[in-house]
Amino acid sequence: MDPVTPAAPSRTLRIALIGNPNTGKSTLFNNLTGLRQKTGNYPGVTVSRKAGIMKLPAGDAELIDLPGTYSLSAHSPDERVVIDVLNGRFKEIGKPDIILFVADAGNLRRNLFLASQVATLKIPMILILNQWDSVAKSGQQIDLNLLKGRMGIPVIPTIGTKDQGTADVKQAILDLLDEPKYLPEIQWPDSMNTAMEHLKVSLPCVGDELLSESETHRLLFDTHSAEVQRLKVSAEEAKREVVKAREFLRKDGMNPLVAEAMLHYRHIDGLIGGVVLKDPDLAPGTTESIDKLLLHRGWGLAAFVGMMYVVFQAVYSWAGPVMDLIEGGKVWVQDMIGPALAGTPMLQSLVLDGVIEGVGAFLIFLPQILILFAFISLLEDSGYMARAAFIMDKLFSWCGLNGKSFVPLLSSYACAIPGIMATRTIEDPKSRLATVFVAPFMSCSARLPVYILCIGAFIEPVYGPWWAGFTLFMMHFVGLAVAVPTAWFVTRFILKTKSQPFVMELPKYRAPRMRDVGYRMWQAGLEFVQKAGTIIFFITIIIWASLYFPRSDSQEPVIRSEFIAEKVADGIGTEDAIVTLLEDPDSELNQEYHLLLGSTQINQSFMGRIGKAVQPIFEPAGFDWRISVSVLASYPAREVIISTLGIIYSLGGDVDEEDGSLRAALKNSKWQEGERAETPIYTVPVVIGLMVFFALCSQCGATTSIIIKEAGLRWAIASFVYMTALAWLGAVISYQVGTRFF
Amino acid sequence: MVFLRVRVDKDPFLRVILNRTLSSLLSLKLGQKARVTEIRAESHIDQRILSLGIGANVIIQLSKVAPLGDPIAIEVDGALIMLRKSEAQGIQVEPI
Ligand SMILES: Nc1nc2c(ncn2[C@@H]2O[C@H](COP(=O)(O)OP(=O)(O)OP(=O)(O)O)[C@@H](O)[C@H]2O)c(=O)[nH]1
Ligand SMILES: [Mg+2]
Repeated sequence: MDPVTPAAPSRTLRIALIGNPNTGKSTLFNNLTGLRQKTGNYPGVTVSRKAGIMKLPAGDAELIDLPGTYSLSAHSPDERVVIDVLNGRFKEIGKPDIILFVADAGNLRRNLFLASQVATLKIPMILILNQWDSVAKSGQQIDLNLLKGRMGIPVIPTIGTKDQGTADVKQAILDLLDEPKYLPEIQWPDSMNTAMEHLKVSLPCVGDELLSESETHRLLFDTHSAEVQRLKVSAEEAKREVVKAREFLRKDGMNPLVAEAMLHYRHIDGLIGGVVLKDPDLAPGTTESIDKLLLHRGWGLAAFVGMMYVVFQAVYSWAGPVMDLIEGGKVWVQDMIGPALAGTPMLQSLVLDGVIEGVGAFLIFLPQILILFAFISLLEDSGYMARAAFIMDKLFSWCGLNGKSFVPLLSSYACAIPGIMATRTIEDPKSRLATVFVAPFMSCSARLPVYILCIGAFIEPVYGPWWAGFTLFMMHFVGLAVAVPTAWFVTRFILKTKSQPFVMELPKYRAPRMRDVGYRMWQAGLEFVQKAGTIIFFITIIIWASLYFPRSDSQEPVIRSEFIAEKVADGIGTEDAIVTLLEDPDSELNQEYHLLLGSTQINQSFMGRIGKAVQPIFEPAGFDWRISVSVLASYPAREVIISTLGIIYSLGGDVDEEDGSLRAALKNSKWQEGERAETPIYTVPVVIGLMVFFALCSQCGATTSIIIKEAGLRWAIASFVYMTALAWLGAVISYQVGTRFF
Repeated sequence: MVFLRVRVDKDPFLRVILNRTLSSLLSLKLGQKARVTEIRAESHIDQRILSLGIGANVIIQLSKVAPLGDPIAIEVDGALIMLRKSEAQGIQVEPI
């Protein structure tokens, strides 16, 4: 990230992309650098700064993509990043040399407010009018030449999604290097100049620098300015001086709290007067017509629930054929490799029962992941995501959260990690913490395999596809149902929030770009497959080994002779007849023997012993030792349970001959001893309990570490303990209540 | 201090007077347009409303109410902005 190119004389040119949320900064960043930053049609996709290299004829430049903001008076952590970058407060990146100001051309006046604020920083600027295509669509006309003349800086129309104007932007940067240009300065009234002078003189910064113009504005206009920390004087003294300075404005008849916006907008109105022409008789646009239905007071809610339902139905039912294909592929590979390794039984077992079974059982769920991400990406890119926040806000505000919690929570349905990062757009620190705390309850895609396996094996065959889809929908609902009261409790008794302000822009609907949707799916798929090749692969080997060892071959003859003796006693045949049958690999007796052998050995393995030791904890939930041990093994990552179960059943020889799937093995699995002997382990209440356990439990090392990063260690520990306890309780209740009914 | 404060929204007589001169954005009907007369700036949220371009003399339209009754969405300069009723209360308008 720190290239020293010969063409750049002293240091790399630093260029920052600034603008309102959702104007297309990240899209332009991608066009200019060739990278693939995440974009999406809602305000607040980018929440931290990202740097990339932009190639220019004069050498490489460092381009910085930033979160969007409406003004320089920062409220949320992501907006603060913008201000810190602009003021050069990060050690690694100094002040930018050039600002690419990205405006939404369809909403020029509003966008230029920030530009006018940024101009006080006295950094050369280029004005980019992105979304140029939407100007005509919204019935407007912009007189570009007039605007260029008024602005005095390069003004460049672009269409980010079509990569149009990218070369012009680069050319403008080169021109600006030769001759820096600035936005026309705002003419402050005298009272304002007096007030600023007062602050500059009376409030020196640490290190005796004078306050910059923009810092003075922040102190003067903001209610809780973070600039106070940079001052040499105490917060109280600063406050006294600020009050004095505001008096100058008041005497001039201005309300200091609204003066800034008023003065900037007056300046902007002067600059763009006559530039934008609006067609007054424009027919209602597409966005408006769609909103008539989707934000309708009655239909809006129904449409929302319906849409969510369709998503989960699709995830459940569309993937079937592809899953079968992967399953078939797994069996085919096992059949191909098996004979080649017949000479070395241990290696054969490691490869077939361990690696292929474990990794294969996991990979089967790839189609579901792809479908889920396709939907999430469609929701984001179409512009519906922000509407969902609008519809849900009331429910969220009731429990102390805020509509802006919706997007992080919905993304947590894909994965809690980006979800928790997305909470940075929430201004109020308390509702942000509460959102971080409940985000892991949203049913992430890692839980999907567990649900699909359980539902496919035990719900669908008995109750049919309708109930299967419904169960999947409900499993995704359980977490939410727990999250709401949790958030209520946390904000009510632990963080004690006041109701939070909530202001957000609803973007225009847009046809999602298939390229972006495809890319999201590709990335999610790639990550999933990479996981299979790394963490799942290693854990698989560990689990296989702890299930395979200790193994003493000296025991086999004992088991064998006991087996033969038992069969003779049962009157099945003479000892010789039984021995001959045992030699025949296709005989039923042979299969029964291998099942016994497998389960005896697994019972004695390390994992078997651990499982038996912890099983009493899960007894009230009806889990046997195999489920218990799989639950434990999946603490680092939820998906591991699938591989673990796969290996346990494969090593135990339980995998069905015709239908080599884990699904069938689970169905055939029976209690071996005790009063429940010979009855199935997996009854509907056990399966529901298992799914509820996974829905609520904190089984993800990565999520725990992102909580530590975003909220601190205490929150992470609290989250882990709370979720684990809740999961156990949920499983026990499901089982205990369920067995009364089934 | 406490005794002198009159809850204007509760007092029927004062409310009549108030409604004639000033009325809050919330008194608009769905789809109705109005000119902003004043923003009662009290906290940083009002600053945010201002930075979104909702200031004196700007024409706004109450264009959506969420299915559950809150928040609302107003149209300003072709952009749709949602805010909670509690925040919208401070925006004084004059219907046109
Ligand atoms: N019609 C149209 N859409 C565009 C254009 N440029 C970008 N978009 C779309 O606008 C949306 C927002 O783009 P982003 O690049 O994510 O915007 P951003 O400014 O980085 O947004 P934040 O990170 O949320 O501040 C995406 O859906 C883009 O596909 C354009 O020129 N025309
Ligand atoms: Mg972005």
